Amino acid sequence: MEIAIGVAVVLLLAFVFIFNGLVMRRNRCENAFATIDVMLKKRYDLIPNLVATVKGYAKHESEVFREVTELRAKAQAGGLSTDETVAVNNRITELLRRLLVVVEDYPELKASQNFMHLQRTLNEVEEQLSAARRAFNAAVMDLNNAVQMFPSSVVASMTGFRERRFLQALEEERRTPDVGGRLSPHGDRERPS
Amino acid sequence: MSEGADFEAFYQAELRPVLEELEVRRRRFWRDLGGTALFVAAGAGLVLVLTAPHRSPMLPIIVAAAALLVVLGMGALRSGPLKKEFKRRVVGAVARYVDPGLRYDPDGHISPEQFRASGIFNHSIDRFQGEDYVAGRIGATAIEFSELHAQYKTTTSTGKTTQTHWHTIFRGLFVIADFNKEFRGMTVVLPDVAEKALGWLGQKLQDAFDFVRRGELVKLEDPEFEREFAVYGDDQVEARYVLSPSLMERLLAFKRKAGRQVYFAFVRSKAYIAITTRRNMFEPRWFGAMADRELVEQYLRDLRFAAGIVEDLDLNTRIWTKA
Repeated sequence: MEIAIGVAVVLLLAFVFIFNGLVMRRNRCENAFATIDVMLKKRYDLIPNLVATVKGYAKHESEVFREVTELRAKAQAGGLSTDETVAVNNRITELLRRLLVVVEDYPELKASQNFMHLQRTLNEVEEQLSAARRAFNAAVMDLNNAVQMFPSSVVASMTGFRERRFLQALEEERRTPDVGGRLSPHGDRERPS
Repeated sequence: MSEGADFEAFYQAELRPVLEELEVRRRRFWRDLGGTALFVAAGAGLVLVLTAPHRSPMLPIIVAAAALLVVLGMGALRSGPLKKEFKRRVVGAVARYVDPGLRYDPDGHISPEQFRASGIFNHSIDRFQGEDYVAGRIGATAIEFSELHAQYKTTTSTGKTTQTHWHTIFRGLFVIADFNKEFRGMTVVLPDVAEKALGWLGQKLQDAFDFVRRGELVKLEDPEFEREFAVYGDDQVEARYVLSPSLMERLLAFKRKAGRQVYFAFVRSKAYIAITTRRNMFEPRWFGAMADRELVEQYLRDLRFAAGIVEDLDLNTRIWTKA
C-alpha cells in the first residue's frame, strides 16, 4: 500500500514538473513572438517616412509605393492570422528591398542625410527582427523537443501541447540588411539558417 | 615569416638607430655591472682577509651572500629604466607603425574594474597585475588592450605554518573594443568545456547550473559554434542581435587563429576579448643582442594580432544606428 502511494506521489510530482516545463517553453515561444511583433511595428512606423523620402525622386515606382502602403495599413489594422502576418511581412520585406535598389539610380537621394538616417534605422530594425526570429525559432525548437521526447511527450499529449512551426526567413532576407554590400566592405553575409 | 619592404624601410629608418643606441647602453650596463662585481668581490675578499684570524665559519657565507645581493640590487636598479626606455621607444614605435592611432604605455594596464565589468571571470581577485597597455582608435573603433594577470589566493595551515597558494584566474591578453551595435545587456561567450567533455549531458548540466551565475543559456543555431562555445546572456533576443550568424563565424575563425583559450563578452555596446597565454609579450632581450629584427617582428605580430581584432570582428562596419 505504502509503495503504491509512494509511486503515485512520485508520478504526480514528475507530471507537475514536466507540465510546468512545457508551459514555460510555450510561454517563451509566445514571448519571442511578441518581440517579433514589436520589431514589425517599428518597421511599419518607418514605412511612411521611407515612402515619402523616395517618392520625390522615383516617381515611376508608384506601384511599389501604393502596394507597400496598403500592406502596411492591412498589417496595422490587425485581425490577421499568424500565417497571414508572415505572408504580409514577407511581401513588405521584398518591396522595401526593391525600393532600396531603386534608390541606386538616384545618387542625390542616396547621399541625402535624411535617407542615410532612414537606411541605418531600417538596417537596425531588420537586424533586430532577424534576432527576434532566431530567438523565436530557438524557443520553438526547445518546445518541439519537449513535445516529441519521452517522457515529456506523454504529458504533452495528455495536456494538448502541440508542436509549433518555425518561422522561415525569405531567401533574400537571409543576408544582412546591408543593401548589396555598399556600406560594408565585405558584403557581410549571413549564413542560411 | 618576414615582413615586407614597407616594414623593412620603417625598420631601417626608425628602429635600427634606436636599437643600436640601446644596444650600446645594454653592453655598457653589463660592463659596468662586471666592474661593480669585481669591486665588490675585492671588497669582500679584503673583509675576509682582515677578519681571517678570528672569524666564525659562517662569515664567508654571509659576506658572499651580501656581496651577491649588492651586485644583483645594483643590476636591477640600473636595468629597470633602460628596459622601460626600450619598451617605450621600440614597442611604442612598432605600435604606431601598426596603426598611427595607437599609443603605448609600458606601465599602464586595463583596470580591475574594466576586467570585472566584462563578467567573463567572476572569481574574487586578490592580486591584479598588468603591463604593456595600448590604446587608440582604428577607423571608427576605439580599442585598448594590455597584458593582465589576475590571481586569487588560498591559505592552508598545517599546525603552526600557514601556506599561501596563488591561483591564476586569467593570464594573457585582454582587449576591449567599442562594438558596432548599440545594446544595454550582457552576453558572454565562453569556451564550452562541459559540452565537449560530456555531450548532451554536458549541455543539460550547463543549463542547470550556470544560469544561476551568468544568466540564461543561449542556444544558437550554428552547431560548430555550439561545440566550441557556451553562450550566456540576460536577454535571448539581444544575445542574437549581438551574435549574428556572421559574427559567430568570425568568432570561430578568431578562435582558430588564436589557437588558444579565448573568451568573449559583449556588455553595454563594448566587446571584451580575453586570450590566455603564458608568454610574456613585449619584453626586451637582456642577455643577448637587443638589435634583433626577429624580436621586433615578434612585437609586430603580437600587436597586429591584438589590433587586428577590429578587422577580425568587423567592428568598423557601422551600418546600424550606432555611429
